[in-house]
Amino acid sequence: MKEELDNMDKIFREKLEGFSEEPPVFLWDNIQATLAGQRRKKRMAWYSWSAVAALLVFAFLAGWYFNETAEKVTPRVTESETVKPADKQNIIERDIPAPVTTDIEKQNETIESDRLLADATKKRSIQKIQEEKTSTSVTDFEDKETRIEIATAGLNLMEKIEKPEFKVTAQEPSFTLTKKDEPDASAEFLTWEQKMIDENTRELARITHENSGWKLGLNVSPGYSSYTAKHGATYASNMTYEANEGSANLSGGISVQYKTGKRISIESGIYYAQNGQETGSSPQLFALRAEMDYAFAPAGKNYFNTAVNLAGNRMAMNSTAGIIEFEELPRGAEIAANLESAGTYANSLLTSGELSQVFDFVEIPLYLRYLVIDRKMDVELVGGVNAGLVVGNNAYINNEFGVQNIGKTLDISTVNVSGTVGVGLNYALGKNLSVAVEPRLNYYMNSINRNSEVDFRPYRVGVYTGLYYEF
Amino acid sequence: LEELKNIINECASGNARAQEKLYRMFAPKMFGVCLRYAKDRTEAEDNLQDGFIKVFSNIKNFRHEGSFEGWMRRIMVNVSLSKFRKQHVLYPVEDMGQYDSLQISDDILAKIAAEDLLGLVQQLPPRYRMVFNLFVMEGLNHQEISETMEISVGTSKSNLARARDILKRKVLDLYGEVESNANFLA
Repeated sequence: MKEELDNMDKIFREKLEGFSEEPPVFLWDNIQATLAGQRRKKRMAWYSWSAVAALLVFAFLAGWYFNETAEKVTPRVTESETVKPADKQNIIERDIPAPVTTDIEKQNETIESDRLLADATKKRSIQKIQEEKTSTSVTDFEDKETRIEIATAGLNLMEKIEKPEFKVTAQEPSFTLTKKDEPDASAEFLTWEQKMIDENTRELARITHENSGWKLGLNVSPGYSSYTAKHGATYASNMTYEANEGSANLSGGISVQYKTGKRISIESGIYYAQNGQETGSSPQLFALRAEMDYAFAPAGKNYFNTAVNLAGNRMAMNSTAGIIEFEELPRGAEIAANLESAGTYANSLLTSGELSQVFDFVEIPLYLRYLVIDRKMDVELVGGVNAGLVVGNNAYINNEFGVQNIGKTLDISTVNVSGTVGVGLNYALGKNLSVAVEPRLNYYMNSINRNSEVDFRPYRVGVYTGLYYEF
Repeated sequence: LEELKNIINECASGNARAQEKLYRMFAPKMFGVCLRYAKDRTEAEDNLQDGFIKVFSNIKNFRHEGSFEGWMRRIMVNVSLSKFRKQHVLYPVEDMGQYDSLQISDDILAKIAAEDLLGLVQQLPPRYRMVFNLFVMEGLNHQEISETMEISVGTSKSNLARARDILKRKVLDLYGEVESNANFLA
């Protein structure tokens, strides 16, 4: 067989080479719209990524800033402190400690340290001291507090930290803090002192976890997801029945919180979540859809009867979350020609069963938490944004042949933004460990479908339950 | 030509007016290309649209080496081919059939309008249509076709022969014995 063009080839080539034809006018409009959409998408992607970057930088700077200030404040407190031991009598009646004489030149600084300490605790007695202003005495539990607060600031300060502690144990009136010599001085604690110290330690264990620090959490949530959706009129006239049914699912993830102060903390992490929608198509008596009854559906079971677009070996169906492109004809489904219906597409897909569209998300949150009630059972308000990355996109039909993956939804954006609000109940199990139950609502702020005819925004309600570890 | 270069550069920087100009300039010709590779107008329109979107998003990579029209045409052919690949599972079946070449007089072919020839090409089974187009219109050899379409050289040759055979039969059926058919009916 010869490889060169034969005569017929030549004639075909000559005639067809120069052949040109004006394409239909709407084609340019389509191209233009697509190009404009691409530009918009590019811009949106740029915006969302720079927003995420800015937030991360902000979170980092905030963390760094609060960390720095925490380190700077504490050393000053210890260095300025040269206090004579408190009067024994006062300590016993610790509700109303009486003023104690101090070096006058140190007075200001000591008051300042008093104020700082007072911030860290809610002990009434200390506030009283502060109100009086004349008092510069540092009582037992204040010292303890200073010690623990300082302990968070770094190991190199430990020597200094021990100074106030020493002062407490000393019963001799003229003992100064700067000359600590024996660590076994604690043996000299009186029983009531020891009790008070223990109580303060317990109290402070609670207080320290309110101050700045990191918290690592692991949680899971059973949830219910549904959506809000709007569709273009043409799209909707060929669409599956829109049942406002959600689906139950499980999500979960790891979270990292940074406490910037007593009440505010910033949270990020990584979560996995599923969103989607389910529908069974009921007979649409008045809609512009295929009207043929699918009489074989078992009584009480859903079925559908939805217009499909058949073109070039492909089959597509308009559904609530977007156009589903079929990979193949699902088992137990039939294609019927729409002989009398007014829908745009010439064919309908008929099958019993239910359709579901499921999207898997990896969500990266940036939340702000505010501590409202600070008890053994804390109550927090949570709010913030998530970058939601679509990592899975599947459509299923569940009929008598089981659950079949039929394909996926077209035009789904990979990066989306959602907002979250929630209320957290946090119960401390120990010094570092706590368990939390947190109902949250997560709502997508953009349509996760790029198709201009479809506005589909999933939301999810979940009760996040998890363990948190502080360090 | 200098003007075309300007338009291309404007398109590269995203000027919508230049894009429209370029489209008006080349769309009819490229539609002709797409029509040959498609089974019908709708598919050709789809491919033309996708092709132009590809052209505009890649135009900044065009280096002004070689003909712009050729570059564009390659994009259209590639879009058509990739659509073909998506739609038709390519069974790795060896088609080594030999087909007798029918003889057909050039006079008959020469009388047929381009539109009708196009129609005949469009009616070819998809794989034959692709091979015929790539060989006859794009001037690819069988080696190149076998690589593009992931088929063997033998299959490509055989597909081409089959395409020619079908075309010839159709031409004979439709135009070959018009007179005698007319007599029959009369």
